[in-house]
Amino acid sequence: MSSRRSRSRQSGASRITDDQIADLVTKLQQLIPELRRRRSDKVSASKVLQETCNYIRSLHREVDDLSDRLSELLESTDSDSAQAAIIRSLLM
Amino acid sequence: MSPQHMNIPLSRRSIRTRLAYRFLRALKKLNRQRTGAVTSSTSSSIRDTCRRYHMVKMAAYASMASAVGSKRAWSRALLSKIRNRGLNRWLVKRNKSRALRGRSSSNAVAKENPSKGSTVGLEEAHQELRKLVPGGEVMDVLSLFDETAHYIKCLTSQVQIMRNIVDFYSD
Repeated sequence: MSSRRSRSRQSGASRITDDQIADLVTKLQQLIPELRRRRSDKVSASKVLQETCNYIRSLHREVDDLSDRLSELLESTDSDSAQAAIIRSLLM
Repeated sequence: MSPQHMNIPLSRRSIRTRLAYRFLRALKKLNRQRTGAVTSSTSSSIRDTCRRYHMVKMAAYASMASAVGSKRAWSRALLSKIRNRGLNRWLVKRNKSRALRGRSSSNAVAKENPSKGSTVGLEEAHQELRKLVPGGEVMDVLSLFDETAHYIKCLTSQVQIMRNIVDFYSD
């Protein structure tokens, strides 16, 4: 896999420059709350990628957890008016 | 706020509004289905709970993907997975890869080779990322990063919306 990557860097029409990768890595870094606090120059690309994976995984876990609670809450409340109130409060 | 706010076409509202709108619509639909079948709720309640949890989760991902539409590769991949009824499979496969990662990361730490360790970590992280982002397996590196950034943005908004709803309900 890594040989394929180095090959595409040396030859091939769509050369991936290091600048482009660095740009995207900084963009990712800004989105991840843990890495945003540190000053940008010192964080390596592999650390950014690993933190990204961890962050996405924790977000997935939160979605699972929240949908669990939501499904329980949906069962316990019946009124349609509560939902209308939510819709109104969130969209306006 | 004035009712003029609602006359803006859906595509021009912010992503958060679109996410909220679609998710709430999906929840309302779920709720209507539930109240329709409320008579047979006493038997097999555990299975029903599991099914409801699963449906809410699917509704979350489906509404997120449809709010973004076809503008992004990850949302296109998610939508096609939903249409082919493969979303369930993807969710399970994703969770399984998470469990494996725990074991392999401990091995990587034990190796402690500084020169090689960083490239091995990069490669592993690449593969992990491809599994986590929907449609990530067929993307090249640049678009993978790009899609990841957008995916994270939308996921964070979706999580915030769900948290708001849960907080509102549980007052």
